[in-house]
Amino acid sequence: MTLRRFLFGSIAALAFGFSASHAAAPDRETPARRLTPEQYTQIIADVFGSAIKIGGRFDPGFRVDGLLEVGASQANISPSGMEQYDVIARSIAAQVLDEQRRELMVHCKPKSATAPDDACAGRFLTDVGEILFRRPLSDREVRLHVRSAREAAAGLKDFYAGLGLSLAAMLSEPQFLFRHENFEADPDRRGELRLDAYSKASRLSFFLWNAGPDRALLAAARKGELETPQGLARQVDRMIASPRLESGLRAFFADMLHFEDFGTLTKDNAIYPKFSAQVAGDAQEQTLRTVVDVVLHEQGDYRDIFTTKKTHLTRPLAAIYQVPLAVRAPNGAPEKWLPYEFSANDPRGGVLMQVAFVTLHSHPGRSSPTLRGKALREIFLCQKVPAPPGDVSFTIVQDTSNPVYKTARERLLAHATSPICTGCHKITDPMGLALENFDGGGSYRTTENGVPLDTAGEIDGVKFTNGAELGRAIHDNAAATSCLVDRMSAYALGRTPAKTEAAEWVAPLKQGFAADKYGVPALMRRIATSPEFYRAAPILEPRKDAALRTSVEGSR
Amino acid sequence: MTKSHGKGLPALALAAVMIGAGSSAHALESRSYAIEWFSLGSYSQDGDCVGGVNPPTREQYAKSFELLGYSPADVKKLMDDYAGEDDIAAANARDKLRMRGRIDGQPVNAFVHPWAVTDPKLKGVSGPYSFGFNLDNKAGAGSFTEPMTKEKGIDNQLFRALGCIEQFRGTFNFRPTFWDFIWGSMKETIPAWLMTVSGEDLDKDGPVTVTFDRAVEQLVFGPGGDVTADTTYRADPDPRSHHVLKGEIENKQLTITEHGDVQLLLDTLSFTEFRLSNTHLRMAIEPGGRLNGFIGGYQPWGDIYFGIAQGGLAYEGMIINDIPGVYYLLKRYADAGPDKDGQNQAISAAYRIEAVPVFVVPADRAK
Repeated sequence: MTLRRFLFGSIAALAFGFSASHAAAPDRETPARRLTPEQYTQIIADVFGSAIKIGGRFDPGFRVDGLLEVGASQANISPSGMEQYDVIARSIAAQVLDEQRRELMVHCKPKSATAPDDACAGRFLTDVGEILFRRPLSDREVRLHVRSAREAAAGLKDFYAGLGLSLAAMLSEPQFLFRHENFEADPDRRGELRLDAYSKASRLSFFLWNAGPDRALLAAARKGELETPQGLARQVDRMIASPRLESGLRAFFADMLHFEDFGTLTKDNAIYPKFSAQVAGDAQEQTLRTVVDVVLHEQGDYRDIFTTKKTHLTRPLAAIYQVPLAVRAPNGAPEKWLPYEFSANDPRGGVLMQVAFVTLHSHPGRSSPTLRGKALREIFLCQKVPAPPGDVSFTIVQDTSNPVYKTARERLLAHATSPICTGCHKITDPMGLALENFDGGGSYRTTENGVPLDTAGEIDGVKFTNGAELGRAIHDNAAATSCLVDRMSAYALGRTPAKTEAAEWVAPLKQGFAADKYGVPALMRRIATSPEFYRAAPILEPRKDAALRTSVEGSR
Repeated sequence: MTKSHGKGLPALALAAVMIGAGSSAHALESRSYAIEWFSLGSYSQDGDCVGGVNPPTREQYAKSFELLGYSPADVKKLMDDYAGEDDIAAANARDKLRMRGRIDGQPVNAFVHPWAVTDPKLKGVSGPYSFGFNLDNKAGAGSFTEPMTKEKGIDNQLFRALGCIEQFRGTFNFRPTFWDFIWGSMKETIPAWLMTVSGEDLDKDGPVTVTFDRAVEQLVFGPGGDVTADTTYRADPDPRSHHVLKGEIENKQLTITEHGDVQLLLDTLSFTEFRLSNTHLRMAIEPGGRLNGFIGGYQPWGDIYFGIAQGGLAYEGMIINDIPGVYYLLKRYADAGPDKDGQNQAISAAYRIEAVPVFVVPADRAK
């Protein structure tokens, strides 16, 4: 197969720009996703332990159809990125095989520490290779890696140095850096393809755990258990019951919520003196903790993330929320998380009014009802908001000290006078204006430039007067739950489902989500146990990239 | 009904009563503050030091050598050595300066034994104005007029003593260099100083209770270097830094009406504690919720002297012109607490403080 042949290609080819999409069959979208930094780190921790330090820069991801995970299917590795992978790989290998760790890591003793030992090298490389490549190594792969270790050990007169070079090479190979998926004929559907057992295990594990398969899942794949509904369900249930499901959920929501944008978020310290790098990190964690609490720990209704009063705070976050949070910790200790519940009459509740959402979708020195409304539509309702025309003047909306237009609502009304602007602002601003009680640094306010804020609006015929009522409106909006299923199915597949899949697979998933009272783990189980999740993409429809992709970045 | 820090957020009411409950049985509302700026209340004006301010360090050092009996040629050589590139000669000159005290004719450390150094007779402020308070309810000779309130009889002999040393000069908006240095050094390492104001309705005029505490935590700063408002601090249960005084709010001005004692532990490596008796306070409550004003009273001048002297020759060379000279200034202008020999042991003082709104909770309520 085309993909397989490619996988055995040289690393040199990779260095000149390996693209996952290059591996696709001509008429099928067979994505090979580049590992995210989190997945890379988790796999290394699974194989060698979390004490191994991973230093270096990973190529940035890019977002397609609202998800980095879909973008990962089209991601290249740049030449400089490949250099970084090589540096990281050598560092990992050096740590794994240093004198303190080698006896723990290598479960055999070489005949001589200064000479090659094919048996011991083969045992080590076969063992770790299975986890790194998410499948057993072929005999040919084992021979190649053992030969590399042998030649290096002989030249360096050091068994472990030779083994380290071979391990570093393994960590730089596309089989490790990309999540390749191999297909086989689907016995239940003549002429169609499905994932082979190991690819199935890999897809399942990355979806549920954001990590490679563990040895139990690989064993199930080896025994063919994943080919039966019962065997698959057994593994899915085991994985959903595992604490590692939280990692999978966090990865999904961090992707869906665009949290990678925090890496480039800046705020004007003179305007928002409380906002710091610490706050930016804590804000993401707060929202993830809130979501995970609702959907996993409480096994609650996904929609409650828009209304819940319960959250977790650190002292820096509590300062922004202007609530007391007394932490018993010594000076200089890492910030401690404490559960916190906003009172019933507190205006805040739900993720839309948390620091993460309102700061991420604001400008460095001012809030932005437009960015917030756009983000809300695109992230939580899966609705596309067009980018603004290139020749629009933003002078009025940027002038926060305008003596005539004192609030964002007034400035936006003055700005959106042309029909081409009005159309878009009508779909973003009413929702964004409901969050104007939160400035660009996340702090609560009731006025802007001394003028009381009007936070009323309407979505799909439902009126609201403030952020809390907006949260309730989103909670009750059918598009919110539909969107989550769309996002999660695309996240799981690594591509946007084709039309036929949307009709035959995603639509029933949405019905099932409602039947499960919008329980997210139940939705994950439905996806993970459905045959459609493991099938090859249908024959490609003609792509209309511009229409399919969500252009968030261009419109900021 | 409880009130917030001033931004109208209902949740704040919860925090507002947390410390107040322990302060006053009638308190329904409390607002807490962390002191982010603390310095001598200097009000320096042109001409307030007769003949100009005290000489800079090098001139003082030359004078010190003269007072020790060195010949003019030796003084010149020692001062050249002090500022020269010969490290050994410079160290020798510094040693002579450090050991310029004399007890029974033997050299002693001048900073530890300032009384063993001849008084260099530094000058004090002779101008008519100073920030501060009328501590003795008298408006006699030697008192100042308050430049902002125009009140007569202001007692701030600490400013009179130190206000002609360049590094202690300042105004309301310009901080004295010494305090910029010393507070700037201490504020990031010492536990925060806290104030909590409790009363029926802090947006209205009326009696209040003012509580002083020291925090368990150090001040928290934002990326711009300012103290972060609305941070939560635990009040240190150590009773030495816990003081409750009666006060009042009138026209957005907070004052203390019960002029008791206040003691706040400070930095063990510098000013070890801040002690005031007959404590007065006058703080403007600003629209954003900050406090801005003065605290004053009588302070043991020994605390001040040894806080300055602990820096030794390094402080003296870089910041203070003449540390034993400061000792004599404080001793000369001390105006309260006479000992059995009639020497006053306390000096009237006023300090400029700024405070940001924070939350304060008892340490045992932390999780």
